[in-house]
Amino acid sequence: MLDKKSKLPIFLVKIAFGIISVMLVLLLFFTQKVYTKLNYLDEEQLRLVRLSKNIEYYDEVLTMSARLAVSKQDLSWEDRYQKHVPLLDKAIEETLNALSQQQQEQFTDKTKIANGNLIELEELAFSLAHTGSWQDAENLLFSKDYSVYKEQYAKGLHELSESLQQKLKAHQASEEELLRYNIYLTIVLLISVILIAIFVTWILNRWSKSERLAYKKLTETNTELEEFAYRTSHDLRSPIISSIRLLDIAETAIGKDETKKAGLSLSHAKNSLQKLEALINDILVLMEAKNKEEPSKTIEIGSLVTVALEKMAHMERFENLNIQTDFQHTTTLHAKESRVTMILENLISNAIKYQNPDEETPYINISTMEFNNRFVLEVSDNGLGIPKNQQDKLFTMFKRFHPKIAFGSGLGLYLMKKSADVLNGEISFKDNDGGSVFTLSIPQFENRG
Amino acid sequence: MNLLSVMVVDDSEADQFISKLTIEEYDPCIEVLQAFDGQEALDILDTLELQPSVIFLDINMPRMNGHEFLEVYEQRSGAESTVVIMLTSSEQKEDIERSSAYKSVKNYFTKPLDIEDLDAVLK
Repeated sequence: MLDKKSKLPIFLVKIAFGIISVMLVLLLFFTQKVYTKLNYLDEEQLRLVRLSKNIEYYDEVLTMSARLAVSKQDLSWEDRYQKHVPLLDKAIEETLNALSQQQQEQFTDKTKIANGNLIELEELAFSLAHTGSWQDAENLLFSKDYSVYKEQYAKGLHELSESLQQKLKAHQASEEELLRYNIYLTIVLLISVILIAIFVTWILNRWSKSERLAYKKLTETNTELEEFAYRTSHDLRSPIISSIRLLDIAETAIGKDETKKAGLSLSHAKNSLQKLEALINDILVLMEAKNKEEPSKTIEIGSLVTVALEKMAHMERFENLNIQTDFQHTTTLHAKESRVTMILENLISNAIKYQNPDEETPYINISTMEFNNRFVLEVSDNGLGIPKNQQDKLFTMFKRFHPKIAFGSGLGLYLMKKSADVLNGEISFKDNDGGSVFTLSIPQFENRG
Repeated sequence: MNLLSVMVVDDSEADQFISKLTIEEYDPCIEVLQAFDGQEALDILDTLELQPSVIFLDINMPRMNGHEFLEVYEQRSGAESTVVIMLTSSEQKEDIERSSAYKSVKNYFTKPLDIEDLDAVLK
């Protein structure tokens, strides 16, 4: 089941994809709009250029038709003239529609007189032609006045064309600017998309890493739990079954007056039940250690060592042990006291229990130091140590290494490891020429809580 | 079965006591060899000219457990001449199945050893 924390990346990924989607839609929309506008402007420019050319052409057709009619004395040219008049009017009207009111007025003002005069002269020329005054009509259309009006009209058309070009260029410039902005926006969006993709990848990687770690931890816990259930069921049941049988043997032996046999059976039954009690105690300590919430406090390690040694002074062969201490730490330790005590007591108790009988001067050395803002506790001895082939299983549950020497539930080192984890520290083992060196390293000040 | 010796491999002193007593009660002529873990059993077997007829083997033991012992033991020459009987507190299906996979394992008993079990094996 996912908790709130593990749902957060999914939420962030959804947000990121939402932002990317909105950005892509906006980009698509703007790009399409700008390209449509630019295409329209291109077409419009072509249309207006064509209209402008048409006006020049129709005007030329009118002038040429009128002049040919009078110079060739052929009134069939008048038909051509009359046919092109509406075409010219239509082209002018369409062109004017593309201009602003002001430009229209400028165009009208400048060319109106010239155009009116030209039409007037052409109509007059055709009237004269109809009355047979061909020469007068020809003079009129080739007169200086006609040429002046023609020039004025041509100038007006040229200005119209210029105006149109300017207007279109201005439009194009603004659209090109929009396109430029669009390109900038595209770049920004692409960078954003890349950054969001990197962010999403990072989040997913981190998330999957934390999920993997959580899964690994869960699997480990599950395996531990299965091992714990299996071993406790075995280790709890075994001494009870043995004790029942031993009590049966003792009972029968008493009935037969076999006192020695009865005594041995009872002694074994007692040992079995004592071991059972010790195991139950260790399991209770383990349960308490797993569930206990404890604030950190300032710890005087010297006092903890003294108290632990006093507590264990009653243990067998304690007096054989040469106890040395060497405290070199200068900064006060701030940590969860019960965890440090538990580790310390287990290490001292192991050193007492598992002394090497071949050693003339068994010793335990408890020392402290500081290293990289960490408090380091080292407990070394010249005891029986740990067999080399079992050193990798050292901190797992129910591992016993010297069962003949002393009883142990096999939970002590496992408990120490769990406590070191709670202290955000590490505990490690090193072979000490057959003996043991256990090193606990914990942050000096990071155990406030 | 003409028995000279049997070996009990068990880390529990109480169970060793019960097994030895039961075997001696069944036949006082049988020599009972005791080993407290798999490694000690191998070490003792190495020193013997005549291998025991039966090995009663526990599973959960420190240093070398019953399964680890069998892995090594079955590689030894002459292992086939000895019968291995599992004698354990475990009634776990996995332990029973795993034990039965070894050639030398002929039976699986739960502790403590009693005369009926012994009779079934040693007759």
